[in-house]
Amino acid sequence: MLNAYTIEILQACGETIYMISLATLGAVLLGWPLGVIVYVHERLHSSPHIVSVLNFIINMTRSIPFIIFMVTLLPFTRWIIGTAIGIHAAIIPLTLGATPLFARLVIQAFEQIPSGVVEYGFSIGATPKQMIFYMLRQETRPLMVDAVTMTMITLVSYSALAGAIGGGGLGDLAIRYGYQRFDTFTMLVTTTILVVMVQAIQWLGNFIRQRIQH
Amino acid sequence: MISLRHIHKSFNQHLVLNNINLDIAEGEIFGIIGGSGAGKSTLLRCINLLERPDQGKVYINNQNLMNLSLKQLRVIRQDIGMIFQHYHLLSQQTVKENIAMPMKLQGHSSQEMDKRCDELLEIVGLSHKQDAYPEQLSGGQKQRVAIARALSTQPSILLCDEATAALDPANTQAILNLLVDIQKQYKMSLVMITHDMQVAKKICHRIALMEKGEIIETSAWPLVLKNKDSLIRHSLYGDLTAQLPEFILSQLSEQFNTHCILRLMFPGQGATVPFISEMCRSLQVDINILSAQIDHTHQHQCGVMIVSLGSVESHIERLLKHCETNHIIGEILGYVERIHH
Repeated sequence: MLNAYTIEILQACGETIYMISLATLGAVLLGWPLGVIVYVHERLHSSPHIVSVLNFIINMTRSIPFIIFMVTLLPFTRWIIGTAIGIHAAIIPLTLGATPLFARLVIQAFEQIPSGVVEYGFSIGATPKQMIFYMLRQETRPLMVDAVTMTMITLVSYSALAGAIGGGGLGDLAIRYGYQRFDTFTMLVTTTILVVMVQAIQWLGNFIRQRIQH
Repeated sequence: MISLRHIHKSFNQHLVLNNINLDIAEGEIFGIIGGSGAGKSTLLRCINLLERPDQGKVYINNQNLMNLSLKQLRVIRQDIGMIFQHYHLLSQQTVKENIAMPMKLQGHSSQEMDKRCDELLEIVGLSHKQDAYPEQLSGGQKQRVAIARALSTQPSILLCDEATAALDPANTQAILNLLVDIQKQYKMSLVMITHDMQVAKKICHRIALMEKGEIIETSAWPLVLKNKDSLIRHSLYGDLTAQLPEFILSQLSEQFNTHCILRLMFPGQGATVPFISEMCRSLQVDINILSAQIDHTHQHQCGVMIVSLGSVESHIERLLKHCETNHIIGEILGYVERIHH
């Protein structure tokens, strides 16, 4: 039968999955347009100023250690959600932390499209918008699946860090029991679950990519 | 139809196109030949301004594209199809979706696109592959898709960038035939660049030869044969001379010697063998055929033969004179001492 301990572990799993899912969704919704804007201004109509400003923002955010980034965002999180602790509040820093990563992966994916395909687009008189939405978006689809996979996996470890400032989930459990109470068993269990989670995400990502790639 | 005037283009201070002037008529197949780095590719891209010349004017139907806004230019580009050496198909879309893409951009209805796609698939012979993805196709099939895609908006100009360079000889021939067929059917102007002289010879009405960013000669195809100094002719038939046996090639010199090596060109339907046998009889000499080739192009036939005969000046003179009266182009390549080991 399920004892209180098992329930607590399962609940923590659920919280982690909840945070990762919403944060991934947020990162995709914010990161895709951000990446595309950089790509369009870099390759399709060169506007170097916009590109360098956005690149600076993306690189800067990525260079701050996530735990520091999270602490820095505390007032902002409190302003949006009303509190800075708990799993709902953790979604804000998780999303904003993963967005630049996802944006960078989007830029890389678009840059991998052979230049001839882009040239073909120009040759048939496509506008940059048509080029992105009718042609390049489809071309980058397999790489986007990889990007989502990678972002999710990064978010698994970010969410564990979020536990350190009361974010909830498996990381929170590992820190409270494993670290603060020297409970090696809980530490092992949570770590194992995280490893399995990462493997599962990678496997699922590979599976989907293979299904949609031509 | 297409007129280029004083086109200059350089990349990093390196002059790639130097004062190019070119006129291409409606319904013409125009070939631009030359080695790699001659500037062919850049020149082709100047026609639809994928490369913008530093100086000069690009007229299409008397409209100077250099003066147009990007928006107006996009409309013009829809009337100029383009195919590439490496096809550049959209890898994640089916054959049919690839073909429909230019129409989709122009906002055609889906019934219209379906109808046109079916027609085009029929023309290029790929109806059974409409739902395949480019990865599942051979090189020749990919180029057919690219051609169908370029035709979908019924352009009046088709630019071909080394369209057969990545294909094997059988597919090259098939693609060239297809291009000639559709060019006739749609009455469009076709501009092709190629480094392959055989390709240019097969389908072009006129040929321009480029070297180091300049057009050094432009000539209509059959006339090219008549001009002894033509560099185009030299590029087109140069390889035939190279096919001569090594020991003859190595001896070949302009100095008078026992055997004279001649090149005879029979443009049009000129019967080659009767001419040789007749010459043998009337001159009472042996004419040795060292190498022979007959080119069948879509519009002309041309036989090229390299022969040797004993160096008797009167014989050579008579042979050349006889050639002239029969509209055969004869020229002395040189003399050798022996034609057998």
